[in-house]
Amino acid sequence: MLSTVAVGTDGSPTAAKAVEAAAEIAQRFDAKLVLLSACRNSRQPVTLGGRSEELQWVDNPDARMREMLSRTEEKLRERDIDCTSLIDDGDPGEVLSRLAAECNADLLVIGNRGMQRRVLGSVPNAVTHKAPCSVYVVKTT
Amino acid sequence: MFKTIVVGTDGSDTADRAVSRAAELAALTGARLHVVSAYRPAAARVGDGSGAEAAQWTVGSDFRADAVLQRTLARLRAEGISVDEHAPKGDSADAIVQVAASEEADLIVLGSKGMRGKRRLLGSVPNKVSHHATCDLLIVHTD
Repeated sequence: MLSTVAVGTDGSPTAAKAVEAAAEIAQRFDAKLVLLSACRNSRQPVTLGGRSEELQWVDNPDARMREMLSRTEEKLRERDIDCTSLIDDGDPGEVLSRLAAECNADLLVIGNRGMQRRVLGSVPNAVTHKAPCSVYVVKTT
Repeated sequence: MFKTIVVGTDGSDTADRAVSRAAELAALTGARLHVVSAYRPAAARVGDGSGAEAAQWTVGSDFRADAVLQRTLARLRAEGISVDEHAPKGDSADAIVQVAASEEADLIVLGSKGMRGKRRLLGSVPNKVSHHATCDLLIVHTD
């Protein structure tokens, strides 16, 4: 039913709840989990996985994002979840939808923060409209 | 993981895919499934400018869609899934959100019809539900 579950995260508490929901779904379906993040300055998508130290730069805001992804990945692996991450720069809604396609996700999980404002342009709203796969909006607010 | 799952349907083939997915999740987690198909007299839709796709969510006066829905319910029950049917009068999105709230659902499941292309700004059912749901929402990719 599901072989790859992707989840968008920016390291925020709301995203942490989405990651936890995605982890439970991945475990339930014995699916791979892919953490997706958008940042502003990375030049190309980089797959983390044991190489994170080499990718960190001092005073680079992206380094913090990569470090967060790497830490989260490690915690999830301790729970026997097959976990990787993808990061790319650009508009978060666009990036998450693009990376979900790139990793052939069957499901993209996202926290709902920003959905109740009803404004166009919140990340979960963009994702629900652009994702190439099913979308799971986790109620975190 | 889930105790109560609500799925919205208009009896269409794409909605039926969302129902099937919801049923798989219910079977997997032992959740109770509530199928919501809002009923609105066809005349109430005339000239409200809400567009063809929204109108397609209107069940009740459409016997073919209702037959599809009844077949789906029979199939789910034959599979041993506990399923309740709700056919409230009114707007589909409102009805789905209300049933989810009153049944204290953990999850709403809907097909993605109307979420892409120019319709996205005009208030399709999944879009409206996504902004008002008080629980998790699964939008099943159906188009």
